[in-house]
Amino acid sequence: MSLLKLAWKNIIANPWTLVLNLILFALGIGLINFLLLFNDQVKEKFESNLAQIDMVIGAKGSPLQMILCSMYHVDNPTGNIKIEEAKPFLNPKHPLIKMAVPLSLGDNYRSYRIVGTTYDILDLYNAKVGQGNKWLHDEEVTIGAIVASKTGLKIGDKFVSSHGFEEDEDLAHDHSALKVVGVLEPTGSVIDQLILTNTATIWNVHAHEGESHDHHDHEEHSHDHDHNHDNSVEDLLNHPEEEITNILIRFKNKKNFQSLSMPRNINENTDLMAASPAYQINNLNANIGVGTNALRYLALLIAFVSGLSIFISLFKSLQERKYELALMRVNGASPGQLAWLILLEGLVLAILGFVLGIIVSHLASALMGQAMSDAYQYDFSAWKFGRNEAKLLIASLLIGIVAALIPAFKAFKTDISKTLSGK
Amino acid sequence: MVQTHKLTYQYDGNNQFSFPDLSCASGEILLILGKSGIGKSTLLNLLGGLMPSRSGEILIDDTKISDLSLSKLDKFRGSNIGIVFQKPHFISSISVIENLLLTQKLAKVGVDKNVCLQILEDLGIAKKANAKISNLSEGEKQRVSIARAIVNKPKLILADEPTSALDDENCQKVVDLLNQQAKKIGAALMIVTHDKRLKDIIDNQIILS
Repeated sequence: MSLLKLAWKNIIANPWTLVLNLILFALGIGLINFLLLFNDQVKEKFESNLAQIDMVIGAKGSPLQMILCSMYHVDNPTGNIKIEEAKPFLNPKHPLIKMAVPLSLGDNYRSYRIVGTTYDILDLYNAKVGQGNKWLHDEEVTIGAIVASKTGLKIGDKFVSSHGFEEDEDLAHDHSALKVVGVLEPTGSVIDQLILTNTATIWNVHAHEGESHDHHDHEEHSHDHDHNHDNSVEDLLNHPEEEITNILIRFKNKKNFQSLSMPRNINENTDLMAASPAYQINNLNANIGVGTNALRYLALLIAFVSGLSIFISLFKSLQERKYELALMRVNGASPGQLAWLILLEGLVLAILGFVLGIIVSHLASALMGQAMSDAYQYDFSAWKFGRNEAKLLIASLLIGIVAALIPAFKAFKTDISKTLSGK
Repeated sequence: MVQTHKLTYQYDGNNQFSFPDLSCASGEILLILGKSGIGKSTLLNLLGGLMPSRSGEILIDDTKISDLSLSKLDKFRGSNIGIVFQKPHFISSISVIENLLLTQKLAKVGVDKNVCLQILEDLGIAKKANAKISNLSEGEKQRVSIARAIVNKPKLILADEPTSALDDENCQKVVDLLNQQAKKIGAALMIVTHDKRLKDIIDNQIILS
């Protein structure tokens, strides 16, 4: 019958008080940990997908929307831009630009975005072809690892894309089937969730838009792009009248003054919009931060109340158990042992509450991850444990100790003869 | 062997008690009788080491407990003095046997479950070993209280009004039980009471006045 065991028996002797204490404690710790987990993972996702992209160019609109759309693939495009206008930035001989990757968006297959682009996008995300090949001809696609695993598409499979970014049967482009020619190795970045093809494929699909379906026939229809496209930027430059959605740009030297001032120049002097991802994402983090801060204060308040609740229940049980404590003194317990018993009770409650809170927060993260994955095709790992948990454990122990301090001191001062004689 | 010498106690007011010198050998019973307010509880607290004495001497088995420091007194009390209180108190969150094991543990005399079970057996409450205290009858509680007082084989067993709430038949039983157990472990047994029925049962007595 150790003191720890006795502390445990004392705690479970009042199950309802125990339940209340644990719920409050787990709620406080769980909420704090959930916020930390969520923040960390969102930040990590955002950062891992920055891919050293220094600037994004697109149609005028919300710069944040453009970044979210072109780099994270979670928002709609701000619109399309004419290649004519974007020509200078696609020019491989541009003195400041190291790499310019065109993106053409507008279609999806089962919510996975189909992106018309060039092979440079593979370098941007350090992606390698795992099976099969890179897309070569029109209507050929190479798919990301998550697309392959979630949709079950294999090399040789044909599928029909739908218009927009939500899965919708009514919007299926029933005329042109795309063919899978390769699957990328997993990279952990957003490219895992993309279906890649050449830009012309996107043009071809949308060249049919607005045509009446009655006299539509795949065979007899000869579209504008009857020659074979290759995947070069030069090929794009040969179609100045066509459109693309965005250009992802990596500078040769991003600290160069001309590079730094390029977004502003574009915004002021052209009909295009340019934005810096790092700046936009920092802004976004700061804005999310306001909301999570409010939640964090709420969580701290709950943690404080849970400490108070432990204090009150220890104090109350101390009043009820003052004879027991005096009796333990009679049987040879030192004042220090009584104080330690009460501290143990506070600590055991805190540790239980902590464990429960951590479990709850990870379960919530798992649910959240599921929701994120359904909504944005984003992977969210719920079962990562980190330094935050260690800090929270220390904080929990402190709450337990502080809550038990006054009751423990009172137990320490137990006067045997007065207590037992009821004075 | 328990002895006192010129024991007095004064509370902060003017209420001074001087106690007659007491002596009780191992295996013997001493009945300490007295009316309410005569200092019985004070004497019991002093003998039990529950409060430090201020003048005079208390010797228990050659240890002068009136000279012990508070922490040494805690240790000494746990292993050498067993007290049966008028109203039995226990740790309510744990079972009968666990209460006895805790008593052993706190006195640091070594935890031995078989000893505890044997005592419960001797007192006729072995069946209640795993019961919660709240599920015991008053008589059973009193026996557990005796079991706890003797579990560490103390040199002195103090009983505070152990019979005042009992009818004649049970009064005799409890005294016999205390007597038997004290003899068995060779402890001095001191019963502090105002219960006059005990006068006829126990010969060796002293009356506080």
